[in-house]
Amino acid sequence: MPDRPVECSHCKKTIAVIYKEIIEDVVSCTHMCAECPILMQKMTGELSDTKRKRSETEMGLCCGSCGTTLESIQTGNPLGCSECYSVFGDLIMQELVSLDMIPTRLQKGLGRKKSQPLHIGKSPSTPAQIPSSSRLTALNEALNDALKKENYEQAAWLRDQIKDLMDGPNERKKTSP
Amino acid sequence: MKEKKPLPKSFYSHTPWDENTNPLWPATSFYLHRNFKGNLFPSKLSEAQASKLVERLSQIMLKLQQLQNPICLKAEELAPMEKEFLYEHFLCRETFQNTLKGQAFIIDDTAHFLGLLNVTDHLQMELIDCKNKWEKAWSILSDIDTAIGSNLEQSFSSKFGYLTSDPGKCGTGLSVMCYLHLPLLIQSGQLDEALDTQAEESVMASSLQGPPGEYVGDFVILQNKFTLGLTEEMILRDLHMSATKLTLAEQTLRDKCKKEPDLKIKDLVSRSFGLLIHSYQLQTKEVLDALSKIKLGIDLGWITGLSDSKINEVFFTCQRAHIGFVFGEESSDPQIVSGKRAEFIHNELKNSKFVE
Repeated sequence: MPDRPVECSHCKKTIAVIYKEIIEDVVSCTHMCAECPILMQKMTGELSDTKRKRSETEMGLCCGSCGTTLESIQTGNPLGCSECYSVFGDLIMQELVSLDMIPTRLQKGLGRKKSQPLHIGKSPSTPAQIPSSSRLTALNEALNDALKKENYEQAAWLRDQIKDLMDGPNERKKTSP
Repeated sequence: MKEKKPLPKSFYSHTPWDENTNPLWPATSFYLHRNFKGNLFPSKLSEAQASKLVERLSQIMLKLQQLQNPICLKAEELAPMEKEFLYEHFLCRETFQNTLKGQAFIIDDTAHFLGLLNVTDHLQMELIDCKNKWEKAWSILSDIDTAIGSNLEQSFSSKFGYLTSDPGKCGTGLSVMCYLHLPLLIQSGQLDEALDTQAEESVMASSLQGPPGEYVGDFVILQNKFTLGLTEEMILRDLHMSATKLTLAEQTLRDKCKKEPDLKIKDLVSRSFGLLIHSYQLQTKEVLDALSKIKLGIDLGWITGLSDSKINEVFFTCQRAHIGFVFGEESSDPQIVSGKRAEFIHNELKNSKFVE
């Protein structure tokens, strides 16, 4: 369904502003996010104070491995290599926090000098396995919720789902030699 | 369309949600993003480097036992309409029209797996599950990931996890999208409240296209907000819980509507039925919005002679490239496509009836 852009034309973040520009007889329409540096430039002719200060202090920062610049990352371009995570690590973390892309409980620890290592999921050497109890936990939570609201029809349906899930492995055990 | 198609037949004979039996939750798509050590990320790769990596990756992936007769389609070998067909089939967010030499697609006979090589990351895998068998789907994807990882070292750091070209995907590199059909929550204006109260902090809602809050086809896509700082298990658990609670809220409204039909809703369903039956020009968005009400009407017993799985099929087939395949001709003229779309819908709905 290619009818409309979903994201900011420049930064690929969620659209918040539709910017219309009329030059002579030509009307151009651009979809942008609220914090788009391009939008800021279009509206005021310059970057915002905080962005400008940051740009001034960090001007010239560039990944030695792939040549990706700070400006390129700030305008939403993709990273160029693994090394970019070392070069722009702090900036990436700031950006992830400002976009609320880090769980709240972990955000508090990030400002400290000895911040905890962040990645919590699997690593290449430890393959992840999702036990069926994960879905069971989700269904049980929903069941408790339904019972609290005295919605017994929903509760019955959820019980059936839980039973099906719990019977699943047993059935397989029965059929296995 | 041309006679010779590189896409497997299963892509034309089945749409992805064919086997779904839950009208409120037709499917979930699982995505994994991976890059490989010693290579620049795709945006910085030269054509020769990218082609070499495609060769290496496809060699590994075409031997995977988890995939059924996998094939590798190089971007330069695919016609624009075939790229669009893949884009529509997998409900992708970004078009493949700009893909060039050094980029490729891996698909298999299940028509539920898509591997994108050098598009955003070296490898982005998508697996569609429409039977609510999450453990199985995740196990397949995870096994594929492990098998590839044992042949090619993945870009990984202890702090940022799997390194992706979009920092918003680093960490687990796992994105999950649950497609929920929630027309009554949307029409009654209760969706925002339901999202606030039922969805976990780690979950966010989006739509098939367009600005946030405008849910085309009444589909709410629940997806994980975080890829960093959570385990894969936490991501899946939170999403499953939120999706279950939202579908239950929708089911409650439907049960109420079955007992005491809401005239406003019945009118919406009836108008949508009329629109699809009597129009001679139909745009994708208006079809999706109208199909949503038909899907609801079937579940409420107001429309007969039509099944939910047929609507799921039409949902995919009404898109431009699919329409081109159905009529055996490609056209980029919007008026011709709209006309063909309306003709196709008339044909699909001809045996259905709105029950007064």
